[in-house]
Amino acid sequence: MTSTLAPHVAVRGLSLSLGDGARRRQVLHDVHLDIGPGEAFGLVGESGSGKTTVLRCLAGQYRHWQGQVQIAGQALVGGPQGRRPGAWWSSPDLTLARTVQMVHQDPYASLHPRHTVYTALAEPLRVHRMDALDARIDRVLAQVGLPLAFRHRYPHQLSGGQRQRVAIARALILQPGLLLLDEPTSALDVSVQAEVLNLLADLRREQGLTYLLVSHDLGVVAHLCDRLAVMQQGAIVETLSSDALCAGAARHPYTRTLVASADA
Amino acid sequence: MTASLLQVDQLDVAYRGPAGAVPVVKGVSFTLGQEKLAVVGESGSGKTTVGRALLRLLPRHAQVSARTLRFDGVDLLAASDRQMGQLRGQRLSMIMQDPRYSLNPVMPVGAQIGEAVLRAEALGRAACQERVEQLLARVHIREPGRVARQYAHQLSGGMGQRVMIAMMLAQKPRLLVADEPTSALDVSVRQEVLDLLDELVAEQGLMLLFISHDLNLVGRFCDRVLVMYGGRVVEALPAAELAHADHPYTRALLSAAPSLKHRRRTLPVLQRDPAWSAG
Repeated sequence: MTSTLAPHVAVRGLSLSLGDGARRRQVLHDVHLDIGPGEAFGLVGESGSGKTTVLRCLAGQYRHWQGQVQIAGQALVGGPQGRRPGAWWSSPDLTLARTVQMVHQDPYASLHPRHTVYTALAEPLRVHRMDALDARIDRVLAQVGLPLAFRHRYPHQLSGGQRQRVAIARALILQPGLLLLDEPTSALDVSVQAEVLNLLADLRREQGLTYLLVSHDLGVVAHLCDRLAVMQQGAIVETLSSDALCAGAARHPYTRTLVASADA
Repeated sequence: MTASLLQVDQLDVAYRGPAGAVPVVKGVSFTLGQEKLAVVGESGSGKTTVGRALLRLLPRHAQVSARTLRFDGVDLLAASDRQMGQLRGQRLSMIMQDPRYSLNPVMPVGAQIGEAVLRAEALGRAACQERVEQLLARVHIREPGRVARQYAHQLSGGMGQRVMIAMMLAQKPRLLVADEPTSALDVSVRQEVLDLLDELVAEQGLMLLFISHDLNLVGRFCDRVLVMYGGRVVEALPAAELAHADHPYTRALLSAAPSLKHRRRTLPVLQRDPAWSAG
């Protein structure tokens, strides 16, 4: 871990309950995370273990959580105040959007089917009143390895891997420091997954991005991330480095089960 | 190997479209005996189309032709719809990828299994219910009486897939086409479903056609592997010899997945050769 610098993401005692009355269920229990600047951190666990829910809290999609969350030195507001519109940082959501962006699992579902690549990439720039749209879009397309001619294509004219590149470009266009990656390759074929994982690794090296990657695939997490946390039923059961994981140094029985089924 | 019940020789499938017929399966040949045969390939390689062609479940605009397409003495291309209806379920069966989409959402799962039971034999209400619970117990569901009354959305993915298998077992099929049966499941549950399929192959003499995109998984689970690319079988080999595969496509698929044992800084990227699909 990059211990000399302040963490880029600091999560302390994050808890979240969903539902009301008798149906109220706590889905996150006292989650602690420290992610250094430029670090790639993985969250693994089964469906329902709460890994995507952590991302949603950081992205501002859930706001009634308890605990402390800091991203790039700024505190997010959770709890009862977080629920009230207007109490969300100074200018609602815009500052957060420039700091944190998310790439979703299924590129077939996350791109607007009737928007061209250009429209999809220009929208965040317009919302944030940024200039030089064309230059920024050309630059981000080059970064994700798509030909400039693709800016006039619709999602149905792209393959799954190309769509995921567009989704990554859309996340990068506001130049956030932190990318939340929610199973970014699990809808892709293994050969295409390799291309997207290589692209994500290159982008992090070139731009010093910080990643929080959610995946059920230990191989993917160990390949892309420096450290990882294993979640079970809404709580982190173990945090360890990818090197330790691959060397078989996982201590928690649940982590060992995951390693055994991944490498069986 | 035992006598092969299924013979497929030069199977072609094309979809009629406004711009003429688009071939999606080209000259696929294989035989299947009492074994676990895997059909592996990427999305769009035609692997699911092969599985569906065997049960004649393709849409009407699909043109299916073959030199031989024969299951247990029945010509599947010449069979009438009535004959196919008798074959499907009773002799030939299929389970799909995601139980959440293949179970009826507004009917308890026990009643759905009951439909399959009543197709196989005429039973009274109580006897049918008892048979349903036996079947659920057979797929290792602990409280069959409770689960039978539940709906699809109340079940986990692994439970749902077991219900699909129980439904398939209500009749006594010889051939099971399993289309990505574990892809929607968590790794820990995946092994349980595979173990169950393994048990059924061994105990009931089931022939299994296992369709998957995961070459490493079928290498461990199946006996033989057909690798498809662009509608053709580019390589057929025993699963145990996958590590020594000849075809560059098979080798590239094997090496593209990140692994905990062999870590690499950059993953090898597949360089596609048009000659692979031109055969």
